[in-house]
Amino acid sequence: MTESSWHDALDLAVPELAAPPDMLPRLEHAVRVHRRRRRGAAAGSALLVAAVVVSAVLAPGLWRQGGKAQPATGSGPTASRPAPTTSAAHPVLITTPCQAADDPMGTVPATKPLAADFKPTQAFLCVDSSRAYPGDGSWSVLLGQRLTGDLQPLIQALRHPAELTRLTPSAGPGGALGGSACAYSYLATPTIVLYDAAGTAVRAVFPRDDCGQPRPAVSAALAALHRTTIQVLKLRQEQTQGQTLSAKAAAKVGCQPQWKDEFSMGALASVLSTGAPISWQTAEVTACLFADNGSDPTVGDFVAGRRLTAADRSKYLVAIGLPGHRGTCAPDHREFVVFTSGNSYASVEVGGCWRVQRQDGGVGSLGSANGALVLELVGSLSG
Amino acid sequence: MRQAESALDADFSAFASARLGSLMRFALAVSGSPAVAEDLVQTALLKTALRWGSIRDKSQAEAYVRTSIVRLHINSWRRVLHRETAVSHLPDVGLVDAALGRAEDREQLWSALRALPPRQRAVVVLRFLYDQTEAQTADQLGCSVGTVKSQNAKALASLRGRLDAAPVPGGFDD
Repeated sequence: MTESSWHDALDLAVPELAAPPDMLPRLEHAVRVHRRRRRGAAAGSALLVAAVVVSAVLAPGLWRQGGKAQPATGSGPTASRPAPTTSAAHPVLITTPCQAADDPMGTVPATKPLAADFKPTQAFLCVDSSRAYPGDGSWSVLLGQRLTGDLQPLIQALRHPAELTRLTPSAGPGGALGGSACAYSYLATPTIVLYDAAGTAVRAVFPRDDCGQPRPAVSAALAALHRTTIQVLKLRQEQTQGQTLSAKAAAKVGCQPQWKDEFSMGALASVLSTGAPISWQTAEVTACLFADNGSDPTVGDFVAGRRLTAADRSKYLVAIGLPGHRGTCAPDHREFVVFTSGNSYASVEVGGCWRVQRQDGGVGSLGSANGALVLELVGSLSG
Repeated sequence: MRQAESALDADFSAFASARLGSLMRFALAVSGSPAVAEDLVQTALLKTALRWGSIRDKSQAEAYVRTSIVRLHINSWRRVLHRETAVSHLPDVGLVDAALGRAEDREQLWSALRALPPRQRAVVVLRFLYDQTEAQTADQLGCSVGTVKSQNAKALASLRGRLDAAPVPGGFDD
């Protein structure tokens, strides 16, 4: 099959999928939980800052000016940098074309065409990507890529006023425009940075059509150019080294480095008091303790874990199958234990009303009486 | 009684409501599983909601939710929670033609797509269903163009193999 027939075939093959009606309310709940935790963390940080300030006032000799002041970087996305005094015959060699502000997540695209009197001699892309750094976890990065080849088609496309974005409220991906449906996809576009011979930079808008799609002419012009990555700019850490090491420790005891914290998502707010016995097919059961990582309320990070003995299994698996609290539960936990056995699992909230989430979708609650047994297990795992 | 103020920005709510269906289908295509798709969309939207104020170019928001969905899925911890179920066999009867217009053919391709490893499936979905270039696909997956090419070649070979292996109606084996 050709590329277009693959597209058509896949477009027919991939079914539509309706979102559950409570998805947005659950999302709102999760945002509230996150912000509440952030406020708690901020209060702790404020105390720490206050302590530092007090110590600096009381013992100024302990503090020293650590580095040079950084100049303010208040230039807008289309602002030019100061032009170095270099002759046009010897263009400035740009080695760091991208700035953190070029992260397309935070960039305001220019809304005017590339000026006719601006003569680009070098072109770059700033592309959002992700990279692992040994010893420093993984990071969201911005790749500065030099474009080489015939730049004229790209420059012409960027100069053409008709190519500018004209998004209309009724159009956009998935919308309808002039009776024809817009494609569902919305393609990310990198920031294009152009330099003239004097080293003046212009950040160019990536032209899109009325459906919000990148103009094919620009995409084609870019595709014809060769890209060489010359800059890797760290933006945000996605995973700390500690999380990387934690992943190794988790694997050692048969646990996952992270687990989804469904108790924080609000979907399990109402629970029944009735329990249900745990009857798993395999005898090997691992208990893994996860703690909320503070930055993402939907995820717990691995803390500790171990394989359960036969005596453990008879005690704890019975406990998590017993009935307990009935009613509504507010998110009131920082940790949860996940019991896994083959493809089966059950996760237990440590604290609050001790909810139990089972793989079959059942939601129960231990209540604090039976939760004490799980707390005993948590103590043995952490110890 | 005063209604509680929404925790979500009004713009974000409008964006999420308008694009939810599209994002669900994208996540389904990438993950192959409705349950995983729901998780991916929920988590990606949450991350976006928390950063909404810093996203000045809101027209890029959907692209970033999609990128987040792809990366969340590739970081496959989620698959432990909702294990993917690869089909063990293809439908008894199926017709593989260029258009893949019949319902059973669509189901067959959908089954074959779901049977691909996550990264290969993501490459196929991004390259062909969402018409992204190899470079764009590499950017979204956080890998090199070379990796996209190799994963794409393996994925297409696998898809073709599965589709070609399907019996043709009327062609019974004796």
